[in-house]
Amino acid sequence: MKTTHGLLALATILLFLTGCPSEGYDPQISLYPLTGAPPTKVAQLDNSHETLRTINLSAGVSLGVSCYSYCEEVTTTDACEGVTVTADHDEVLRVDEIYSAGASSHRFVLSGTAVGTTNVTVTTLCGSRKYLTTVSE
Amino acid sequence: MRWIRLVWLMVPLGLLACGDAGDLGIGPPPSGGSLGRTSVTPECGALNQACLVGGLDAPLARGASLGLGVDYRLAGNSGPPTTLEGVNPAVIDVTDAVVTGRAQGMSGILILDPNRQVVDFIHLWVADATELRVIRHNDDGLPVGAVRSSGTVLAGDEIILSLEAFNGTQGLLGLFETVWQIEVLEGEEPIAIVEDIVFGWFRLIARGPGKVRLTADALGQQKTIELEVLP
Repeated sequence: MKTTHGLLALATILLFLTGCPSEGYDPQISLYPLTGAPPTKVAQLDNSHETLRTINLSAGVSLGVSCYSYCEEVTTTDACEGVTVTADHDEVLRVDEIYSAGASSHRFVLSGTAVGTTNVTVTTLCGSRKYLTTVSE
Repeated sequence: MRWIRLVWLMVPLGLLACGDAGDLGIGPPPSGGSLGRTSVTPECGALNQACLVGGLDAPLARGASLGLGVDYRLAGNSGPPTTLEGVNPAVIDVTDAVVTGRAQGMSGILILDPNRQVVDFIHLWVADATELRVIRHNDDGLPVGAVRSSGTVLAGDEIILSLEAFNGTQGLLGLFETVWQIEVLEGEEPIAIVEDIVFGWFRLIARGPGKVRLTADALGQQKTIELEVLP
């Protein structure tokens, strides 16, 4: 009995310290790659760090990407509907929509046009996320 | 060396066996776009072997040009007209579906529909030519082998020649301008070289006995051949 009481007390303290478990999820706003890098070149898209998402491309490389987005606020439609992908410096990174047979394209081609860095902003019905993008030789 | 000669003979035979479309019954293999919606076929011009055998599997020579044909692979559909745009203008120039190599490197080429949406894309390398090889063609235009650095021909011979650019052992793609210089060593104008109406082909015409030194100049490289014309 003493052990049971001790565990309950510990659980209560932990609950007090950490708060109630969240009922929802953080909004999911991501790009994921559709194509790979050509030989000897780089085309990497890293979603593993929520606070610092990155894209690394060699100059001249084109990378096909697609949108993934989910949040509790948008449940009746695809959260990627009407997604936009923009680069702060289009002289470094070119963004083009991929032709889609549907009404809205969720897919894009990111092309490294010159060496440099730029932020890429992905905006869906759930919000927006930035990718720090580096184009290297 | 015998196997090399056999390979040269097998190339045109293999191409004929493939039976791809083209005015001469041969053509290069198409390369699929990265999104799998199109196939891109290089226009190989004067039966450039690197182009005919490998399609777009080799770099474009810096300074050379290559036309690209795009065919749709959309099930049940053809497709609207496309335009091509290069991603890296420092490396390639793309004008009216003809790609010209500007500098060594690599560039994506976007295939755009009339709404400027990407249908597909490919990547193309550009490399410097480090060697020129002179190729002899038979009367039907098929390549029969590389011309040696010295040899003999008979007065009255008319031989079709073309040039291939190489980077090391790799044949490069593209058509390019060539300047021929003829240095007469013996005789009176024993050989003439006439540019054919097919871009990239040259007709070597042996007029009379003598010796010449031929120098082809293209893409920053030179190739010299010494020929003796026998009566």
